[in-house]
Amino acid sequence: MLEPGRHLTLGNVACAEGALRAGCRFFAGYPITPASEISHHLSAELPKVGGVFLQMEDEIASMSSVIGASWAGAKAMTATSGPGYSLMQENIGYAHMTETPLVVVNVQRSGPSTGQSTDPSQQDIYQARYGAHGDYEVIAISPWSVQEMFDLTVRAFNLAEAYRTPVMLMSDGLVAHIQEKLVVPEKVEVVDRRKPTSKSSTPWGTDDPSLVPEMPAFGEGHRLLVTGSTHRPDGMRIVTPQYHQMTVYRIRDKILNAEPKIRDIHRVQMEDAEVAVLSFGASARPSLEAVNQARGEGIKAGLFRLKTIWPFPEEDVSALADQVDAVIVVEMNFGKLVREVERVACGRTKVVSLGKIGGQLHMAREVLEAIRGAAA
Amino acid sequence: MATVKRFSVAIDEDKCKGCLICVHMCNTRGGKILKESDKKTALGGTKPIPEGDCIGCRWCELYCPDFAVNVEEQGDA
Amino acid sequence: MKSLYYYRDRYVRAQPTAFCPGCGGGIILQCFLRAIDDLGIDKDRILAVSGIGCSAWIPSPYFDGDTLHTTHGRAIAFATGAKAFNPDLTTVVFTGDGDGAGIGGNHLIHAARRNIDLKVFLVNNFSYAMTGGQIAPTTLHGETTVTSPYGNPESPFDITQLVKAAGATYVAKWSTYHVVELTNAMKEALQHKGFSFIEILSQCPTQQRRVFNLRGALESLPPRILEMFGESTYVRGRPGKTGYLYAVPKGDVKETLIQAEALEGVKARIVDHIGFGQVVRVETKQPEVTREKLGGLSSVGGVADHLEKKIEVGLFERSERPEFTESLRAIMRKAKGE
Repeated sequence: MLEPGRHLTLGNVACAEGALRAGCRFFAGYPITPASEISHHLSAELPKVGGVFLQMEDEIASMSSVIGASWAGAKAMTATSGPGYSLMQENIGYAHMTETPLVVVNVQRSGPSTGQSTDPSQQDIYQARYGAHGDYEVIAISPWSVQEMFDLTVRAFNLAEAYRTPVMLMSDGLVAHIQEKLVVPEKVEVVDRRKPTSKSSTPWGTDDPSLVPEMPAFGEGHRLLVTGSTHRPDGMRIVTPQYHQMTVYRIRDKILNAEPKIRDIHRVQMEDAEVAVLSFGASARPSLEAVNQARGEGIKAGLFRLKTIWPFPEEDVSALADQVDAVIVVEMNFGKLVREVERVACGRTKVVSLGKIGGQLHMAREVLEAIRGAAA
Repeated sequence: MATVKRFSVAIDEDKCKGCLICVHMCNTRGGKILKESDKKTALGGTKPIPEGDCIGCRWCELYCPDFAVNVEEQGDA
Repeated sequence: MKSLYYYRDRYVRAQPTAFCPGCGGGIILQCFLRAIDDLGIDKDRILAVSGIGCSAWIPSPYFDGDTLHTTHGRAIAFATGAKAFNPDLTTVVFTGDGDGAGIGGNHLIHAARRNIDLKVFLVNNFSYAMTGGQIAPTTLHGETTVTSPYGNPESPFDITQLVKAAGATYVAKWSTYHVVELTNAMKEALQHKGFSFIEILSQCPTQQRRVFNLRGALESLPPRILEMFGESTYVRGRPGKTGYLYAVPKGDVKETLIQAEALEGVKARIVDHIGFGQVVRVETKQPEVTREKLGGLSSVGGVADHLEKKIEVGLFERSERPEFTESLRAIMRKAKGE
């Protein structure tokens, strides 16, 4: 692992280092551009710390083995890109239903389909939210730098452990493949799943206000009933509406109730902003540049960067809608997160969609023109 | 002096689904004592009834899908 | 010799099971419980993984140990993750012919190639039974199912040969008819270090009436299919019981029975045979003479010897090769510079 201190390193490597620091001891993946360097690095580093690295036969198997390992007690992760992410969805849904903590890194590339395999995009954010069948809530966070590829991977693991849920790290081909300064801290905060204190714990039910049950592991004598079918708190498969609602509503609410603690928004010059640029991940970089240039032209612009995309920070975006005259949503897709902004803003502010495809980052100029337009 | 072991066989009416595999095995391989009765099991199957001395071959146990038949040694005749 | 209630009370989590009356699943569960008990394996050291389908219910919820009921076809991949991370878990996988060799085929062959120490029990009921009896990778060519009303256009593959070719180091095939051999094979698999695979032909009274075209009373099906497995298989390496032939009827099998019984010095009986359907089995001291006579009977379409179209069961592979989790441990030692 990298020594604490300053390094110049690749985004994907920073992600792998963050995982190791967070206590990740299992990785299973399948080769895919632009995520492969994460697995290269972990194949070398995990065994050094007694961890397991597997390259599986496909992404479905990768996701399967990550869940199996998590229930064997591991902090486990996989990393992929669009095509693999699509293959993983059914099992991601399974991880939600069984409340399995794990991290999925999606280094988004330009789709649809094979698309521009080496170029970045942010087109999978709805798939992160609704990819698997059925109803569930998701935690998805998005890094905009090599440093955040480290920091947010650590956070992803801690959120997964704290809320016993899969966490999506929505990266992209740009942030993953640039080299930047990375400061590796002496120590990082590490959160561990709550282990049961007795053999009679109910792994899928709790009266803890957090709604997050304790999590046992195989081989501890709990005689577990892990199943994707609707189940009682003790895991027994019973598919009545009553148990379905009890379980699925709790799995939803443990995330939504915690939204204020999960929320992580990076504001720049927002205090007196009249025009806000709302963005996330790589797209927020040219957005920041545009905001600074707009300020130079006397326009009160500000950057409202979401480090957490899901659960969508409705409270903060609603307050934003009351504060500013216009919100420009900058994202590398048709215009997806903008719908959430429109939904929450309910017409209380002008919402401008600045979506872009083609695998290229927005030019700061493009964002600046949108700011000027909105401010006029 | 050789002794003749005695066995008893009992059907658990709550678990037996009346698939009659035990009756078949008893009558083709065993002591030919398990018969179809006209009684029904709790789960609606035809309840097998032992008629005669069980020889303890246990084929009925080995083929029971529902752990619903039990052969016990009674000690020597 | 322990009574059946010993195994029930010690290992079965819940009853009655959801299996149909006479389903093979319960028999397979019993063989598994006898195997782990005979070997003295503590049930809290066992992880039983299963996919989706009737076979998946054998361990989940009915085995009173750690169970992992996964998504369809993925049990082996889930099990790989758990076993790789904690090799101390005796990890068994219950899967079906559809679950394991259909949708799960890719994971099956790669896990065999890796030779990871998993004990995979593939329950082959020749159908996607739970979902209503659709074509499976094991359904014979021409058979009618709910998705092949005009006859199955596909042909099955031989799963044991597939898994053996993929690299499994213990491969066996038995059926619910062979309860003693199956229990012994499970014990061998449990003790084998490496990918251990047993294909188990299992009766499914609900779907196999159509799959094998078994006319007659439903209640009679469970024992009847069991006998059909016995009739349709021969044990590899064990000389088949000779001295009998199969008379395949042109039309009504009863007519063939009457004609066959008329021949002197023979015993004739109607039996079910997976390869021929309902046939007349004719026991004879002089197979050549009887074959001649049988062939001449007006109602007989063909005469087959005692091995023709039978399924070979038994042990197909037992070898040693580097076991995957041990290779992972060796990598850790190397990475740490030990």
